[in-house]
Amino acid sequence: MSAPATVQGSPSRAESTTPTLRATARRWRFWLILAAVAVVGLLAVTVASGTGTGSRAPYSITNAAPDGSKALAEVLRQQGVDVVQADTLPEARAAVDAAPGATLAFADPVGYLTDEQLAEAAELADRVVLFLPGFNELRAFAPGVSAAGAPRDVDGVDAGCSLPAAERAGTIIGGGQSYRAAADGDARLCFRSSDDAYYVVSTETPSGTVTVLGAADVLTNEGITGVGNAALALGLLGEDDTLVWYVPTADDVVADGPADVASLTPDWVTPVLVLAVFTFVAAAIWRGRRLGALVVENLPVTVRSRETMEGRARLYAKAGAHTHALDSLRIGTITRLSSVLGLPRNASVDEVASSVAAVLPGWSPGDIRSVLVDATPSGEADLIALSDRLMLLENAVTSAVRP
Amino acid sequence: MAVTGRYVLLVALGAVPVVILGEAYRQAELTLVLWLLLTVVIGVLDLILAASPRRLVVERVLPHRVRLGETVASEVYLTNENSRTLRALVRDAWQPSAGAALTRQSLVVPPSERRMLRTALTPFRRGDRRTAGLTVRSFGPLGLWARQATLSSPGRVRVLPPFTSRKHLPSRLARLRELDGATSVQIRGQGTEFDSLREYVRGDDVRSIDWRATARQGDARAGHEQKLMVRTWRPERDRRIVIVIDTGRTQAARIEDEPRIDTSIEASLLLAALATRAGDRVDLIAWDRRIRGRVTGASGGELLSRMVDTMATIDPELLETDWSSVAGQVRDVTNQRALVVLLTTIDTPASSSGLLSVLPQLTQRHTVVVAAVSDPEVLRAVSRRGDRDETYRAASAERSLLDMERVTTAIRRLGGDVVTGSPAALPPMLADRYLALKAAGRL
Repeated sequence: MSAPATVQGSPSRAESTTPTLRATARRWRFWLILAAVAVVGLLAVTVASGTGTGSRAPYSITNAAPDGSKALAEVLRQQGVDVVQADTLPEARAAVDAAPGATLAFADPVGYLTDEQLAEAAELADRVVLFLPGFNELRAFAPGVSAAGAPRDVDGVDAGCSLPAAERAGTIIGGGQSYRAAADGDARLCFRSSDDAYYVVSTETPSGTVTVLGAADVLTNEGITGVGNAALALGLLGEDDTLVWYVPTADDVVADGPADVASLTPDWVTPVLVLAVFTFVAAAIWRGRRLGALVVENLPVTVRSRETMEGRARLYAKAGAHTHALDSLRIGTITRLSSVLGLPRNASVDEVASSVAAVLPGWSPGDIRSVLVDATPSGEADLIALSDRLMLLENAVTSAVRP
Repeated sequence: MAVTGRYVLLVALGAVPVVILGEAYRQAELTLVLWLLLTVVIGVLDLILAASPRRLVVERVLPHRVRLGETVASEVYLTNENSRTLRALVRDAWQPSAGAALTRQSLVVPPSERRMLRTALTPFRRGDRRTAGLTVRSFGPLGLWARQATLSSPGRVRVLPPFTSRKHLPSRLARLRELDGATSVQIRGQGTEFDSLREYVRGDDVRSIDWRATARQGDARAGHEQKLMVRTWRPERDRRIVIVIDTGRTQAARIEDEPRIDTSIEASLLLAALATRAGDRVDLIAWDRRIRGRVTGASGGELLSRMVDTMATIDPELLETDWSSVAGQVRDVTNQRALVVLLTTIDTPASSSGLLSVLPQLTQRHTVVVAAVSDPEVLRAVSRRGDRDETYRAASAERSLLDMERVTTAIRRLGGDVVTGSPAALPPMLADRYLALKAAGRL
């Protein structure tokens, strides 16, 4: 009965339900602007604070944090001292070679350098200033000096020695480490902290003059402004035109384990893996992009009409209601028998039983009554047997009445 | 926006230059970055050169109606209003039960030209089957990136009930003609009306001899042999038939994988087709708690057409049918005596109590036939007693039959008539019952 096909809808340019790029941008405008403002603000804050670049390591001259030494380096530069930063031993050697007679400022708080490297570093310059050296550094640079522990009293330590820089400084704020020199040496000891422990020890070694500086505040951005700290630092470090500031970094560590995977694989392996990730993402977009929205359809419920019957059967089986089940079967059989035998609808069981007995001479009346009414099933086996006999009886009657 | 498999391949091919240049010049990272940039640039270029999927004119050519099980062609004409050739993958978003053979097709439309997308629809559910629109994915000339838009272009096909029981119609119409005055053997009684006078032939009921007409005929043609005249009767015409289809929750249950309501619709269609040919007036009400469909005052071909159209979109509601208002609804349709056919479910006395309570009001004025689908599976289960489970199932089936029997008895006692049958048998059984009532002059 399909009616002739007709045009549905007007033949004008179809309206698109997918928003255009412009519409999407307009809808997300607020969040896009917010994101842009956030990014710009973050950049501005980073640039303004200057913390974006620069090291976080102590004694680094690019570290503007309280425990850095950027202030000292900047002041030295203003005084005309060429401060050269060196991060590795080869860099430090190159810097010293480029400016012979430079002062070397050295600190290795983390202990990156091996004994050999320390020995090598000790040979670099004629004038060396050590910041809070440890045992290894002292052994390499100034064998005659040893550590004397961290002193308690920190305020206003007087120079008390003939070192020019110390004399100019007069008083400094202590703290950090103190050192003592071997008794037979010719070391100059300044800023005494206790008995024979001093903050500044200057000693002559075969490779040059080594000054050990133990007062931590003298160098840091935080402490340099205290009393004579700045004067001492400038005096110690600003003697020569060039200051090579060498704080070892992780690059100085010499790998000595077995060769790692990176050094054995070709260069292109990582880029190819990255490319595989990009390929995967592209493939995901390719396969994941839907061709339009899903179609919604209300589906009807699916209920089988038999379900109540099945449910009741399971209920009978679960409860073992064999008497009840047999009753149902008997009522069904008796109803059908009475209609087969032409009895009225309201015929009683006894009438049906006697009619059946009349039709089936081979069955004893007691037997028929027992199947139809009397027998009580004691279990499921009985139920099945009686049900079979009911069927048998029904078939026998039907074939006897309607041959 | 979308990317294609070809683009994925292009990205993957970057492995070749990365490895070669990485080996030769140790520039693997740089090559990778450049390659990715290159693919994006080519992709964007491809996207810019793709025809806009929004600048299309969509025309749909679609039949309004289709009978369930039949196939119709859905045609969509796409006119390209771009200045570039459109290379596109097009999806027509038909609902799944519309049974579209193809939902996505690719096509090429040169600028200012029109192309047709054609697909066959074989709906497998009654009701309105819809499509929301077309999604067009327009590829660039290189087939790397694509633009995508969904165009609103709604389409609808109304899927009508199949009326498979119309195969029973010719035999029932033949029986109807036998009832008419054309046959001499005719029962005279209430509900029949005078048709014509004709000569007596052997086999006619002697009680139908009209002596007055016989005498008059003898007067007019004196000298001729006396001829006996008989009156013929035909069933009364212009009787009213009101079909009430229950659309409540019990009608959603499936028997032999057909919802009860579909069988009810089949039965009502066959009855209406037969009754309207017999000259009776048929009205239809689909009811649960409100009127869900109503056809009154139509006859002939228009009646069937309006009935299928009304019933196409009716699905069972998950509510209990409110039988108490049915008598009022029938009264709204007709005040005359009518044959009221209630197409519903008779399962248990409890669930049919609403129906039983309203029956006296209906039977007082009308002839009432209650037609219900019975499950042949239940009858089969009764005689299948192989094992324990089957025996219990047989007992349960006997119980269901007994319940149905009790409802049937109650309906008969209240003056109604009951027709039950399997989904395939119910429509012809209901038609036969109508014919029997008509022959007996009980309409």
